[in-house]
Amino acid sequence: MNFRELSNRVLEPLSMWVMVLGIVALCQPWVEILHRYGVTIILFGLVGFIVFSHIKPPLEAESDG
Amino acid sequence: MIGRLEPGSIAAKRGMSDLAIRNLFIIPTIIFLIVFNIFPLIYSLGYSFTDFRASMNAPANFIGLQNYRELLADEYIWINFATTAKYVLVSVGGQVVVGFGAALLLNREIPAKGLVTTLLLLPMMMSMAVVGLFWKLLYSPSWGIINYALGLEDFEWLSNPEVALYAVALTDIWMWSPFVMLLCLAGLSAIPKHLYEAAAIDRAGRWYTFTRITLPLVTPLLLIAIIFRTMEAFKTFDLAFIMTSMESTELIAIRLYKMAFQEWQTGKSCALAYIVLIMVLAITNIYVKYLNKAKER
Amino acid sequence: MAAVTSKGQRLWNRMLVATVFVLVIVFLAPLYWISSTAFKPRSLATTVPPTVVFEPEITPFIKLFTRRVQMRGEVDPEVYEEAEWYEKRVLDAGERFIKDADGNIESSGYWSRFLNSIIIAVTSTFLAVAMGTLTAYGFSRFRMPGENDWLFFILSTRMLPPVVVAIPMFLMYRAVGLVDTHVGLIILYTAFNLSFSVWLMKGFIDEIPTEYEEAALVDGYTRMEAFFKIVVPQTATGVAATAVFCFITAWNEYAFALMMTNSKAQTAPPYIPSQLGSGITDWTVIASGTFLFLLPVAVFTFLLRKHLLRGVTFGAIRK
Repeated sequence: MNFRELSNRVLEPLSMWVMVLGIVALCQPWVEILHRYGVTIILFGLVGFIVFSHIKPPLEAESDG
Repeated sequence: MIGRLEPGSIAAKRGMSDLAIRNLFIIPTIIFLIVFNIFPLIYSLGYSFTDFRASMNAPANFIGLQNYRELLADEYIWINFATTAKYVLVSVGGQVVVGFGAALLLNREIPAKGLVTTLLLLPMMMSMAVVGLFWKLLYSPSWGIINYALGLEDFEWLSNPEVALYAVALTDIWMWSPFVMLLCLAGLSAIPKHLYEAAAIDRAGRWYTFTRITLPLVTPLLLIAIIFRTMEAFKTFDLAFIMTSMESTELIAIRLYKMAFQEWQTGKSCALAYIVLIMVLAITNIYVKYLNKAKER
Repeated sequence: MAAVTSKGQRLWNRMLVATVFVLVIVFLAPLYWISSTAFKPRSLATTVPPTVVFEPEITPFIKLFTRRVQMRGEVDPEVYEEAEWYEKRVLDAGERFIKDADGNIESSGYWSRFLNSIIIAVTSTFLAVAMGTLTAYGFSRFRMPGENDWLFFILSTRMLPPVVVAIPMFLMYRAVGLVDTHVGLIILYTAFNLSFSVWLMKGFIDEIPTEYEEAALVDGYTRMEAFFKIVVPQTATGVAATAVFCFITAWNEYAFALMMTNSKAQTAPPYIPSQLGSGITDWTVIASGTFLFLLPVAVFTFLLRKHLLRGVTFGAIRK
């Protein structure tokens, strides 16, 4: 598995779930520490998602400039 | 794939070049959006690090991340976020159940189907503010038709801290379930009939047909509906603002409005705006991802 | 669903259809209620049990456009004789018009708010659709580096919560004197609708085969001429649908109007609810204001019905 494949198959969905988790953490009413760091978690996920979704999938990258 | 005209073709020699036309068509829009959307946001990012108050003439002092730290440590803001989450869950959940159910019901031969669908779509085209206003009339405790229809006497909907949030969510469900229904119907009508016929020949049960054929084919569009409505529900301002004014219905957008335009804590409200903005941007990214996925089908 | 339907299945089907109609009626009851309240005499608007059958009258609409006060005691018969028909209606209801020194009836704020709504919605729609069509054509026909990112950027401006944008915009507008002006709201609504119009129009223009333009270009048209004489007429339906969507969005907008205007350029959505707090609430008047305000939206929804799916998904799903 090269880096492009890894980014496309694992890292992009992963950062999407980090964003979702961050939103849940920010809005849940139970654990204060999660609420405090919710925004930070979302930011991490968001930056990761933007970066990884710009790495083109391995096959189409060459054929479709 | 859409065919595109190659730059440098015969036509490009006459009149303006294609490149010039492309720039002439696209760049004004982008500049317009940058000036009126991005520039203000940069401006407010700057203010979010200061203690600026727009109601006073005092200059803004740079205080770093203090606004953010205070906001995230503020118990009341936390409650606002939790209230918003509860509202989102109830209203989007309700819309999915009602909308998907309605789509299943409507996905058959029905007299005047076009008219029925259009009538159902009327509420979502209307102004949130005005809908909220007339639902206030319907919710009236002493003479509202909702209490009359349900046989409840003098039941308080909108001034009862326990129920008010759900009452607002119910109005939202009334407005927006047709939206979910519309997308589900589009998904359902795209399912080829022969799949069901094959399932019938195999004597597949209703549940099996539903989970193995209907659900997987509707999911892409249903997801789009859910993500879009979630984002809109997080931003809800008009409906709750018009219908009630209680602590138990203070959604994050309303808190933000009060902080900015009633308490005039401009710097702090800019920081809160950025927290909301980051959340909405995250959902927008997910939304566009699924939108592009559905487009490719 | 299956080709063979038994008798039991047909009965089941018929019951489901009946259920659908019952549910539709329940669903539409709120709309019926607000429209019927707009034509009720005031005494019947808030009765228990609710009045369903009544003689519709136009009085709430007369009240909507005028300023009135409650009368104490009976009306002078002479005054009543001389009054116009619309004034008689109001006098019958136990109220009288407020008149200025010249005897002209003072109008309520509704009409000017309604007019503001029309001016602002129409102008911003025109601007958004014109710019949006050009941009959509640019994105549809030419390659652009980072095209998807630009399109995402354009769409994301639509998703911004109004309150978030309104805070810095208010400060900027205050600095240049655009608070409570038509121009101020028109700019905001144009920016808000522009992204929508670009995405929707791109969907429509993508559907037009490029062969038409290519043929025109070979025939000696310039690219500009080809765009205006071939593409624009081809996509007239798309332009119309986009315009109607933009109009409805601008027409309905509440948050920006609430924060950026207070009287001169105020539109109807913030004005109608503000009538609740003033004096004794007359629901028939509020209902008639609401009814007039919702009427254009209802008409447009019917005109748009074929393009609704496309519109609500920003042109992504075409059916």
